[in-house]
Amino acid sequence: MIKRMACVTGIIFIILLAGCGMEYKSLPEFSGSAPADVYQDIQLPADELPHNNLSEWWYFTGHLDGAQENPMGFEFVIFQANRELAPTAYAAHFAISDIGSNKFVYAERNSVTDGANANPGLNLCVGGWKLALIDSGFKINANMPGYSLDLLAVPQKPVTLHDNDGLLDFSPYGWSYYYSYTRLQLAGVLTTDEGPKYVTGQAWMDHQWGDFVSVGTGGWDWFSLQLDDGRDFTASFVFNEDREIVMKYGTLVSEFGAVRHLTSEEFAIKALDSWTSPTTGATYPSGWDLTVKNTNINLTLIPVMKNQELDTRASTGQVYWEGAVEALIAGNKVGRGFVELTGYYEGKDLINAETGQITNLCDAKSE
Amino acid sequence: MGPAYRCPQFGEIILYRSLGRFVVRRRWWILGLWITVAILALPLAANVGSVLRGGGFSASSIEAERAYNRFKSDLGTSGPTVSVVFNSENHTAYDPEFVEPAREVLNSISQLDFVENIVPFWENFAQVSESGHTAYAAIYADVDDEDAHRIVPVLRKSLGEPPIQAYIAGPAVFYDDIQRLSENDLRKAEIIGLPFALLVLLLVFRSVSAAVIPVIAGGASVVMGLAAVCGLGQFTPFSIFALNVATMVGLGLGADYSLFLVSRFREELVHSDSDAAVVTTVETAGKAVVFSGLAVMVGLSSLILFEFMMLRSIGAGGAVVVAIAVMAAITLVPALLAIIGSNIDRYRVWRRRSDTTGGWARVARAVMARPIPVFFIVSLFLLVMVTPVLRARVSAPDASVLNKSTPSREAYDLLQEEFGPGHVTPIFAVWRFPDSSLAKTSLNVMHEFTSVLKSDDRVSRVVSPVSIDDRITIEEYELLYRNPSVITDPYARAIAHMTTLGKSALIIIEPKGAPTSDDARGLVYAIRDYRDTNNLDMLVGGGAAGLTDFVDRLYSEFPRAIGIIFLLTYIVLLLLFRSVFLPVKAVLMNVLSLGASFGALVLVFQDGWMSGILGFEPLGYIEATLPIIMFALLFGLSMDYEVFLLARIKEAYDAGHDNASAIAIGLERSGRVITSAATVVIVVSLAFVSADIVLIKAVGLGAAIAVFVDASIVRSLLVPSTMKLLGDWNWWAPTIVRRKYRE
Repeated sequence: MIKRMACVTGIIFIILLAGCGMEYKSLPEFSGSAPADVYQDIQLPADELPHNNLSEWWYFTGHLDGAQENPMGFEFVIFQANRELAPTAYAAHFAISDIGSNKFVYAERNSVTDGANANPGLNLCVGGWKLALIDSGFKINANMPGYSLDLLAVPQKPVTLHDNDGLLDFSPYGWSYYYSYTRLQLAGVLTTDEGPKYVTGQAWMDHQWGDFVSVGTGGWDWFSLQLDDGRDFTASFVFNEDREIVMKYGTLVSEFGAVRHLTSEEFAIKALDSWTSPTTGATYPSGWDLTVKNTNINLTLIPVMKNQELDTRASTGQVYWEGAVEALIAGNKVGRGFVELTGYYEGKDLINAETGQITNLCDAKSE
Repeated sequence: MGPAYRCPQFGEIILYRSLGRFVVRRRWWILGLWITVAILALPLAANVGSVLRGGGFSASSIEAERAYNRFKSDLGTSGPTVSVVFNSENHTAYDPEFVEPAREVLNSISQLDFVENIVPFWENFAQVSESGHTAYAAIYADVDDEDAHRIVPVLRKSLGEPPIQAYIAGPAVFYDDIQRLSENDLRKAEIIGLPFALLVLLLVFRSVSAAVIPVIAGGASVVMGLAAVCGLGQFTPFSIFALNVATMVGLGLGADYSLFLVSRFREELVHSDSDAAVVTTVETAGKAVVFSGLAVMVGLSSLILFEFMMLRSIGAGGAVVVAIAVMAAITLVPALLAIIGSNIDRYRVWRRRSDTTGGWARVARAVMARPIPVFFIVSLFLLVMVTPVLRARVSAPDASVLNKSTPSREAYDLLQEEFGPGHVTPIFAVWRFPDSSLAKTSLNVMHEFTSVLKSDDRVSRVVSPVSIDDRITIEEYELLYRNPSVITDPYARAIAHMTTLGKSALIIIEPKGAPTSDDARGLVYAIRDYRDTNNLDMLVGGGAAGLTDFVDRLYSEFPRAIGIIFLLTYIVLLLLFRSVFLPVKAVLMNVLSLGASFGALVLVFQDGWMSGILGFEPLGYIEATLPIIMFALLFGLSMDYEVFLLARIKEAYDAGHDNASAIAIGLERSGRVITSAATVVIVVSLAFVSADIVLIKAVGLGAAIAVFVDASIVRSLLVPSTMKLLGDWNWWAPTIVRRKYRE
């Protein structure tokens, strides 16, 4: 009888153990950060296409003239963001600096798609705005109330790889590939309220991609110049949150496309004035003196309009100034360019900014 | 017929005899009282569903619940109440054909008063599946968690008929379905069970008037029991699961107890007048019913010891219904018998058979001729039936306990398929830091923890401020969050906004396996070990953690409940039989019946035997509350037959028969009535197998199997063989006990 009781009691305890005594594996040991990626040389045209990196953009800035009586500046950019287990997200900005009307107009679009990379080649569409790579160059198509642009941009010089090999090491804050077409010939149609007009002009294109993120603190100033003598120049200054320069690099491209990387000591830029945005309250430098050692580049850069500020918190979370400038020597125009200034907006409302609506979604398959 | 009990129980005889005489005297008053109370109870019973709640699977002391409370207090949100899931085969969540109808549905939902906020999938693309064909919106409503299921019908109405598929998903929908299905299951079980029970009773009594009495008693027990539950539900939370269990118990036992009384009454009518027969019936069968009911109540009341509302309400509801069934058996039924009197056999359906044919006595004598082989063979057989229990996997219920065509199950399956099981019910860790959760030191500790998690092969995905992407270095995270009010990266900004506030942070861990899987549960333990080893102020909750804590807590409290059931049952039986060993034997026989029933449940519900016939999908585990509910319910229920059998044997023994003769006589005299009673309970229990809720189905089947095993194998083979082996020890009690009872 006692044995029988013990046996039954044992069964009951086995039932109980079935619920309690499971074996399990501990969490693995911490193995530190992942090893750095092995970098490869830039390969074109393959690297014109979207990459699976954290951040990437195709940035076009330029000047429209030709048959157009009223010269205009434009900015067209598509940003791509990839994050683990999230669909690829795109944002796009389109701005017109209508110099004659002293009017600066811009718009932004968002898109999330799993279809963009399925298209062969570079064939992006963000909220109906398009960027495509064809044999002869880049096709740009964008519109906003009052302005519609349909352009072909054809590179006039070979590609420029920045920092010698096109690779910028921000370690431990990531890395980026960066190349530019410093001078592209533009041709196309600009449609305004007055109707369509054939336009020509010159543009600058930056393509940057890599595993880096916009860290928010600090900012950068970026300059691109196309001089009338055929030379092109670019410089970037990266700041920390105390506005101290933490990185500075420049590139000079000759008339025939020869590229010279400039060390930080070889060039200097000094702000001449400032402008405070009535919209956001941000104060930006406005007007600069630029000097490149051992060259005759000793220029004054003047914005064609003071207000070329974009509040794009609904797409990329940034308030920045991106505008057309003229390059002068002793008051004489010797070239033109674009300047981008970020990190000057000190508002605290970014975290609560409304997420942008996805508008006019593109059907990637029909592109 | 056997005489009434003699000297040792003289005081009790007086008590039950007085009760019997009182009932005979006041038969019309008692009937009138029952009718009045039943009429008053009807509206309450009909309304019981409105006070019952879903859930009840959590308790404030378990870590998962503390983690949830910390999440609510520290992060200032309770998470979404429900989700609206959209699905289209032809379009993805990035197509206007998908987005526009979804936007219309959400616009309609946003008009509802209780809706506080909606996060559509186009604002958080983690809410879009990898295929893109399924996406969901998170709906935040201003309702308590426990009442959240009440908004589901309104939300369903707001869905309209969009051109893409739309479902409501989440625990609130699960509990709404449970509520609806429980009530449907109950109706179905009543529709199936009552006619079959009546048929069995007609076959037993072969007279309409005799057969109707147990049905009246069962019905009255259910109506008044549910009314009592409705009343109790006004003061304390009551689980919807109490509805089915209370009905099953009320109907089964109400009919069962009446059957014992009606049978005994008919026996007594042979040599007594109607009133005397009623008095003797109350003295004998009435007393057995009281003790039997006490045993069932002891079992069910043990559930009140558990922390979980679901079990407590089943225990309380069940015990109340049993008390009412006992009351009906010793007052309403004798009153009806006194009124009907010798007309009990009127309206005969078939010719009446003799209640004693000698068959059961022959079986008993055959068994007692070879008690040792019978004992070992039957024990071995039952132990073989118990063996599947050794590989039982227990887990807590999720939507998989519902039928596949149930709306919440459809949505749950779709989300599981499209997002992975861990996304639907993730594990979460709520962390408190000494400094801001986005401070450098906090980020570093979190980064190490999330890196470890991401390298674990049980983890599918980790959502935290520092696990946005492996390619982002900890140095970048430090810079990103250096100024928390200006986080320019949209992903980081969105995730930081969602997962951090002040000094607290939320880490969402999506396991690869379902919350009920061993891997997911093991992951919970592993995370807590990591927390303890590194001395972190972190609480772990969410899907698998909640289930793990629930199961662990259940089974840490179960031994105490078992101990109390054993002890109280032993005392009840000791009081009834004045024997030290008979109660032990009865308890052990019961354990065997239950063990065999558990074994069958493992084969059916874990392994899927007969799942096609029974109409369910095997769970791969046994629902964790099932063994506990079964134990509490069936220990008393199957004890019924043991009590009635042993009571009859004891009557014979007290009448001067020797041990072996008393066993044969007891088995013979109780044989038919126990078979009939067991058949009624089996029929009523099997009616609940038609339920859509697997838990109810399992309780019904388990009860039927346990009662069958108890009323057949145990009663006819094991009881006679063990009692023969025990001999006069069956009736032994210390002198002090006997003296005490004489006093």
